Amino acid sequence: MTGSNANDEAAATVPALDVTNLNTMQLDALREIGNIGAGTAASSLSLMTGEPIGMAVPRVSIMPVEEVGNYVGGEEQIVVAVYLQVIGDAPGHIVFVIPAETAHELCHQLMGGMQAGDPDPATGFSEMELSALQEIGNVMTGSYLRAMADLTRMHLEPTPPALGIDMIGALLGSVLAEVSQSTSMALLIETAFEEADMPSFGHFLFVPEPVSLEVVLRSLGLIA
Amino acid sequence: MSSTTPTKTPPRASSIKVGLGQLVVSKSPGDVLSALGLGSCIGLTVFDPVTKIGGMVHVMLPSSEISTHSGPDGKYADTAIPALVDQVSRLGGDPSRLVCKMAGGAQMFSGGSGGGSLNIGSRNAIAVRAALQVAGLRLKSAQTGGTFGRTVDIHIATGLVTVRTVGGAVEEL
Repeated sequence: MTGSNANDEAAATVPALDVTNLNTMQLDALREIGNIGAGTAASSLSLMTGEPIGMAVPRVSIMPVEEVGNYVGGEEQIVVAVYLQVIGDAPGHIVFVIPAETAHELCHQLMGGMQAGDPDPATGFSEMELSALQEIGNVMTGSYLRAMADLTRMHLEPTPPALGIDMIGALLGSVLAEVSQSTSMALLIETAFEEADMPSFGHFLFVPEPVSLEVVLRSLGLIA
Repeated sequence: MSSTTPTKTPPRASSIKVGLGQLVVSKSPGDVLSALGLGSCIGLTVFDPVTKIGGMVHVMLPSSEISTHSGPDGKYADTAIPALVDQVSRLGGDPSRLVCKMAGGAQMFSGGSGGGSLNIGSRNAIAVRAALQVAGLRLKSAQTGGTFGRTVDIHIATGLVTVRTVGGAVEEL
């Protein structure tokens, strides 16, 4: 591979796209991917719970990986996180984070008044709630990814989602350590969900690997 | 928050957040250095009980050699420990007196893709131990592994190091 310095334009091996140097149109396209992916995920969840779920306009941010923790903040807030890796044409990482109280409420909606069973002292969630959360994670990350694959006509596959319940700093930090093995700069496509009676809902983070950015943007005709 | 935060350390007790990959040293008795919510990361604390100079580093990855990507010294175990010792020495601490403690290195995700690839935590703990040995430092106590997050504090006034977990009591390390 060539070095990271932009040098000869006619270089045989193209260096990975510089995430710090994207133009407005490219950033807009990435935001749109987040929008469509999360929109699809939100409607899937809506179908499961029977409650309408809205979402904010996605934010696209670029920063050193180790600053993402500070950027998200609230390190000690207890959350449920679903993490998976995207494999295929455009590898990357997806994390879906919901505050613990919201997760309980979602489980309640999903199970339609069924008894949840005794909560596990370590997590605060019952066995049945945990499987419900795993299912929510599967459906949401799956539909996000399918929407993205349809849009870009790429082959994208999720690894089986992993579930974690703890302080957000601990969960996100572990994911970021994983991410930082392949990149020092993270590009975040972040979408916040909202439901009428839940003031703080969840966040969906998609972090493409640096090589994927180029693949994605090329598939959309945004790289010459 | 104002963007013109004063950089001077206030005389009263102040809590200083040590974020991912960050390294902080202090000799102000009022300071409490905190790594909030450590998962697979390691919070390593050092303290010179004579000069009462201490520090903390929040290590994310075992080795700077496994990736060609840069980042702050504190990010990797092999670069974090020499950098921490160096900064403590510059403040006037004696490396031979340093009391070292660490916590973190957990595996936060279960099932799915979490089991195989996310074992960075245990690799981090091993790498920190190895780097301490290279630097000639002895680990006094450690609480690593498990499947839960930890918050670690070091009180510069006394060198007291505490660990707390979700739903658990605050424990001295």
